[in-house]
Amino acid sequence: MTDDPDVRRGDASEQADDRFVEALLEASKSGEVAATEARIRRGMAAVRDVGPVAVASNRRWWAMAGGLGSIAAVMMLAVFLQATEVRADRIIARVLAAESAVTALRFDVRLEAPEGHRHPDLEGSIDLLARSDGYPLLRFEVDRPVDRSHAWGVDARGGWGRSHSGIVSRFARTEWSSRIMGDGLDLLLDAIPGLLDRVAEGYELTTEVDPDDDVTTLIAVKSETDDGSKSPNRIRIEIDPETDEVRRLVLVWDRESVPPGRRGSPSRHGGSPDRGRPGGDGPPMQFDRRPPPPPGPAGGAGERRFRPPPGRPGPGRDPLVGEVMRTESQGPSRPPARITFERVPASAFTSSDFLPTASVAG
Amino acid sequence: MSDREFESSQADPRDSPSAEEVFEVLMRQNAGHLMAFIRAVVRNNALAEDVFQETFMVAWRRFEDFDRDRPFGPWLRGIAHRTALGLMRKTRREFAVDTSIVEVLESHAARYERISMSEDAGVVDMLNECVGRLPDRYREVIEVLYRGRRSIAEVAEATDVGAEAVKKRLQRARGMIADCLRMKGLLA
Repeated sequence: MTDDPDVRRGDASEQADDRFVEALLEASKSGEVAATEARIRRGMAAVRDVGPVAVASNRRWWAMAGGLGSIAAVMMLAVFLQATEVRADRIIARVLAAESAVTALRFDVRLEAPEGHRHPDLEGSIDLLARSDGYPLLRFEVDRPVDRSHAWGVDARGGWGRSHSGIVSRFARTEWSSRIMGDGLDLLLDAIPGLLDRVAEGYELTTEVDPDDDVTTLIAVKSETDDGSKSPNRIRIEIDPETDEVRRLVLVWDRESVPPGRRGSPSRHGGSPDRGRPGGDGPPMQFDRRPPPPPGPAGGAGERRFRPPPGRPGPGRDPLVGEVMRTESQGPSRPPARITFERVPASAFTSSDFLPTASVAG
Repeated sequence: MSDREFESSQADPRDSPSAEEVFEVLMRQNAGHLMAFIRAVVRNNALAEDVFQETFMVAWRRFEDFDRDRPFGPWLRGIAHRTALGLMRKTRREFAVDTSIVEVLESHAARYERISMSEDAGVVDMLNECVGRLPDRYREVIEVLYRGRRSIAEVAEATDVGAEAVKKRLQRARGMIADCLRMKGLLA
């Protein structure tokens, strides 16, 4: 300990900086929007329990409310002007609260290929299982066109793909969505809460309410269309006003907004080319984007690791294997034009339902 | 002007916001920098939540005393600081936060407040950009620990380096983020 005030001040400043940055990072965790809303709600519930503050007279309180000038008047005006945002925040908070109790989700999915793309549209279903002790499990079964049926998923070991002919390949969990369509389905890896958190942060939000009050719609338009990321330009979230659960999701990519340099860009292993560089315009915060770990033990029955030699085609005839090859060597494919998720009732999934060799849960 | 004349000269009071409504608006506007300040003071998430709620209640009880000519944020943080010290004493935490550290934190929180009032998601954008500029091995630790919600032990296992090395990287990363945020004007 030193008695030199300058040294002590410098040390205090350093400690304060470290504490403050740590606090900001804590606040940047997913779920903070909902947590903040919950804090305010708890606080206001307690305020209502306590009752009104002692007010000298109606006149005085009204004078304060009417003459707050720099505070309340401005704030109330701000709230009025930002009514849409506030409303959207509240909708998101309600949906987060409703979805926090849901652990199993199933959506019917339709992926529409970009115009001029040689691949057909795909249809299937996606199951998600939230786990308290780890990342969510996921299974995407593509069943139409029938001659191109295949599956992708994430089980307790990591990511997997199963080709039409039944070949199973393994890869890092976080590589899952980039193998199909860039960052598109990445939005669903954290299930609904993760999607809503991202929507709340990176999109301009507006709301629509059905005149019959049958559905509440949240429309999210990407704040910066040329930010270099492959997240969708527009997201439409239809919410059941009774249950606050998400009924339908539509993710739309505008073709012209995908920067040319990103089309067929280098591998996502380690992130986009300029991510992490000073001044880089890639998405600044992508979670858990480590390069995939070294190969682990071989898979279980019916699985085999697919590792094509660099720069050489592998078994290639299988569409899925070809896609894996292409992704590993050339980077992610382009996002689709649109993905539509229709929620359907989900059964009680178990971890084993997400193994590549499991049959689809009922 | 008499009280009665003053009252009658105002718009219909039924159109005015109630104290409760004004308070809620103010708390929503100030929740971000308040929580950042509290977290930085107590460095414990559970305790930070308690301090926030207690601050909320104390602020409401004293709302009538709040000088409307002064900004709300510093007043709120003053309550939060006193509440944090009280709760830390109660929970028998060994440390008390040095006053000089709190002074710097107050200054940081005031900047946060100004930025968040003038720009949409300004602080979040600044933080994201600073994290994005970190060298890979530092960014990786930050992302996995804070965004991946992993513990230091889990990060150490996943990255194949020891827990101490992870802690050092983490501290170094936070230092680099602080430098970056200082350049952007968020830190003094």
